[in-house]
Amino acid sequence: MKITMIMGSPKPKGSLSIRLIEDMTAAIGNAGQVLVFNAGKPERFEEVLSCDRLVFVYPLYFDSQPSHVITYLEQLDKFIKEHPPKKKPSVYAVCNLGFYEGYQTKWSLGRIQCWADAVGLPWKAGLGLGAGPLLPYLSPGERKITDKGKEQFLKLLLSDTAGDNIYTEPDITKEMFVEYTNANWIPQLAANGLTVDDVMNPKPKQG
Amino acid sequence: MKVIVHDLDPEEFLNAFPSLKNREDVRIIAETHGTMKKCIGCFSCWIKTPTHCIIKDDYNDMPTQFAGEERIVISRCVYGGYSRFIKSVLDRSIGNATPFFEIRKGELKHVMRENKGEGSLIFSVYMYGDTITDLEKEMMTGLYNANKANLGSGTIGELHFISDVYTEVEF
Repeated sequence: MKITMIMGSPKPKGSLSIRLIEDMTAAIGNAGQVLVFNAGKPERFEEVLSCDRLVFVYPLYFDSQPSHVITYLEQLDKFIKEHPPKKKPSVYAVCNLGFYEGYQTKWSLGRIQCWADAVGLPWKAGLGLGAGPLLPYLSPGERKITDKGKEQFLKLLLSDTAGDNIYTEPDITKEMFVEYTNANWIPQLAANGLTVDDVMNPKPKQG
Repeated sequence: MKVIVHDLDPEEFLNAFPSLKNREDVRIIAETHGTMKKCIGCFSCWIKTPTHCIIKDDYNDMPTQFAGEERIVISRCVYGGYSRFIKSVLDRSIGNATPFFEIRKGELKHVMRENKGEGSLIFSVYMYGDTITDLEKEMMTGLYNANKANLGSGTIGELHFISDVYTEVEF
């Protein structure tokens, strides 16, 4: 079984999308061959489509896909209509977001479903992962819901099964999450010589 | 300030709506300076140069341009969401929010510098297309409501699905 993953983060390295692809590839192991393509390079579509499963993995930007993923979807759509693929890979999507609630990815996962409908490929299921950037730093106990969601999603993917979207959140309270993530910005601001006040009351740009 | 963001031909748009020309109270954002580069998720507009995008093109002032008490978006409907240009404008305007989180109506949102009173921001969206499906309408409606909530607790406005901008939108 061949699985194509489209990496939709605009970051060249260190993105959670890349990490999720690596995690899924490791979990898939010998059950399938994983090919990874970057949505920033809309090319080699024949190779992209020579698969049994097509998985879009991307971060949530302003409640939806980053803009370059839209470009990619439109170009792949055009290619499919001009060169109908012999196989019709099933379509899945994984979206991570900085907010706590995985269900805030619902509308972006729905866009991939709309795309699948438009190009005539079968939509199967999506996974929305809340607290994305925090996930690598959570203990196994704080990641229980997330890990279970990822496991359920992989089962659907490997068995070519359709299902309801799966949404996860961390096993810590929302208040703790806000406190932790807000505090995390302070040293990053300090490293740039800025304070919270500089962010809340930015000075007009000079020149 | 009324800010209009659209993905139509800039000249054709102005010819269709001549009353918008040379207005001090209207700002039009269109793809007039070549293709807009994508947001690269660097967060510089939050933590290095607040409200300024560091990408070197003619659209790096989006955090301060896509701001104002009335914002109108006109977008081709693409798979139940905004077109590439409109999405680029939104992505590159995140610097008008702060990186900090708060819980609003039970959900995580970014802390806004402004827009806290009811009706302090009007956010209206026109999605155009001849073949917008029911699923696309459902997803776009959800996306619009999410955008509204993220733009601040005082945001009001409406979403419209239309076929033709030039006959169905009035300014």
